[in-house]
Amino acid sequence: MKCKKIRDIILSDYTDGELSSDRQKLIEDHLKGCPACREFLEELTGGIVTPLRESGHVKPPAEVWNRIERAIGEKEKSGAGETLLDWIKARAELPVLRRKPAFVLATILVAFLLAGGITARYFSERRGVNTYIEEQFDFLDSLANGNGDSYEDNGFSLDYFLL
Amino acid sequence: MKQIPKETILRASRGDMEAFKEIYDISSGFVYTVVYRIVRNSEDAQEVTQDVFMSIYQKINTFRFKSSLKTWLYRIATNRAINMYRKRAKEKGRKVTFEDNIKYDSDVFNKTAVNFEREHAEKLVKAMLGSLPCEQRACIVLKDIEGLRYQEIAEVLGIKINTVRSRLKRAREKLLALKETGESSHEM
Repeated sequence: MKCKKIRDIILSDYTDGELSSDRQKLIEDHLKGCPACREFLEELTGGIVTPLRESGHVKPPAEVWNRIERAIGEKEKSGAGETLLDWIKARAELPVLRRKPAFVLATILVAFLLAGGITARYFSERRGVNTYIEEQFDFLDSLANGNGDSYEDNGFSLDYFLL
Repeated sequence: MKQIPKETILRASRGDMEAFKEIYDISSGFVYTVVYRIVRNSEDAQEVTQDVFMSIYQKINTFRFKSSLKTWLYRIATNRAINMYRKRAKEKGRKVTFEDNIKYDSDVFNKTAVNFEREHAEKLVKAMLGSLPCEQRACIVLKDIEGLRYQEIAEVLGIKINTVRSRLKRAREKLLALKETGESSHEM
């Protein structure tokens, strides 16, 4: 492997301990025979990586916890539970929404359209059945009241039909 | 970082303030560090840290243990810090993805390279982080200061592992180049 490639790996995976043992050995073998790459590694480690790794954690001032405690107390006192907006905001931070918002919105839209289509079809079919039943009731009603004119007018006799 | 016991998380999710304080005591150090190193000033870091813990208090009952609480905390802290940095950058009329125009002090490098005194080391860390674009800075903070694995950084930032790798590589290349420029200009 050429020095350029070796240094690219030193800049990331080698320094960060992300290499497999085979590749790690490959880099170490190269470093043994290449003073320029060794110097590059020392410069990176000593001048950049070590100062950052040794910088440690910075503690927040005590005032930060006091403010948090106060804010929670005020929130509890005001009795404000989770509002609808809080609920939406909490869900909006779900990883899937953060990573693929367009996909999630498209899925919701398709589900909404499908549900709308099925509902519309259901009501449309139901309306047809209702109309048919109403017509049958009207017809039977007209027979019961002796108003079977329209039936006979069409050249049929109910008696004949029943026979 | 000390692990946060599951029982403590469950108690905090039921509104137990003592349990929540326990979570704060364990995690506020790294939350504040990540935020402070990204926003680069203590006032904004305190505001964001407060905001992060308020958010955790309100949402801890939705935590389902699918990822670790640590990853969840890092995610909230890093995202809020980046947002704050971008907001401040916008207010100052700087282009968000542009690097900070921090003056790169060559003396900082030369003095600290020889002598890792605390004050100088801190100056060096600030100068290095300040010279990086926000996205690269976040990766360097999570890797070199917090010691997260590439996979964890990818999860925290919602990016691919290869993006983590290339951001770290570019950041270190830049820091090495600046170090060299600083040293050579000092020699002149």
